[in-house]
Amino acid sequence: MATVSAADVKKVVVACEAGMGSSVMVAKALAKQLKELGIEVVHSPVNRLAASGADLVLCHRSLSGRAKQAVPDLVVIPFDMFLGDLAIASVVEALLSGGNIADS
Amino acid sequence: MVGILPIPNSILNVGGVHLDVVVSSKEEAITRCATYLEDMGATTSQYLGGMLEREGIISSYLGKKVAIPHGTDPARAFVNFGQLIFMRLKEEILWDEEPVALVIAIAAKGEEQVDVLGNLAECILDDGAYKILMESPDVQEILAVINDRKGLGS
Repeated sequence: MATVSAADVKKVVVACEAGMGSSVMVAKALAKQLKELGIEVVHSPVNRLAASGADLVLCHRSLSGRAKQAVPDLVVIPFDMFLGDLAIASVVEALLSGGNIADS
Repeated sequence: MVGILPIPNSILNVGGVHLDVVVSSKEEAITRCATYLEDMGATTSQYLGGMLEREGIISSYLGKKVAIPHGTDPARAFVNFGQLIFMRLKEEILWDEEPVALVIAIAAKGEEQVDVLGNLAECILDDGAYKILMESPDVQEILAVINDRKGLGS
């Protein structure tokens, strides 16, 4: 389990298998929501996650094991749906309101 | 000049839009998209294998009746140039248990698809733009909302 304080999150990385489609869509939607906080949101294939400079990682649940292996010290939040996922909404809420974000 | 006004160098262009397409399964939909991409010269025939492989890892079902099949990271090697396919189905199909009416297939070598995909994400989440995507018979209107955000709310 890892924890990060919302105030320390400057870069969110959305990881997917290819980093070509799904993660791009999630990252773009998220970037718009987090723009006012000055948080950078980028996308990455899961196998390039270690070099991504992330403070917080979001990825599809089926890849979360691989993501956690790549960045064991970072908070990795799994999601199930690319659009309209509740886990992503709660991360946005936490980043907007402050406090700590943890994975399990 | 009147008539078709192509948007130069856009990754989504008139040649990539297919409306009222009839397919009966996810596999057939992906294969059809791969054929469209190959026919445009955007990919080689090997890209299909990458798309099917990626789909086997995680469903590319996005939400709101939209799926976005694309290749794996290594399958970028089979992409000649970035291209999107907008394939709207005449009848919905099931895509891993979810109904799908619109398939956006992606071929990208690098990051050339990112801006347009960002617009697309906004279009899908915007009621008015979503209606254009799902119902408009006008290819230029569809291209304008995705490429130029014309008709996209706030």
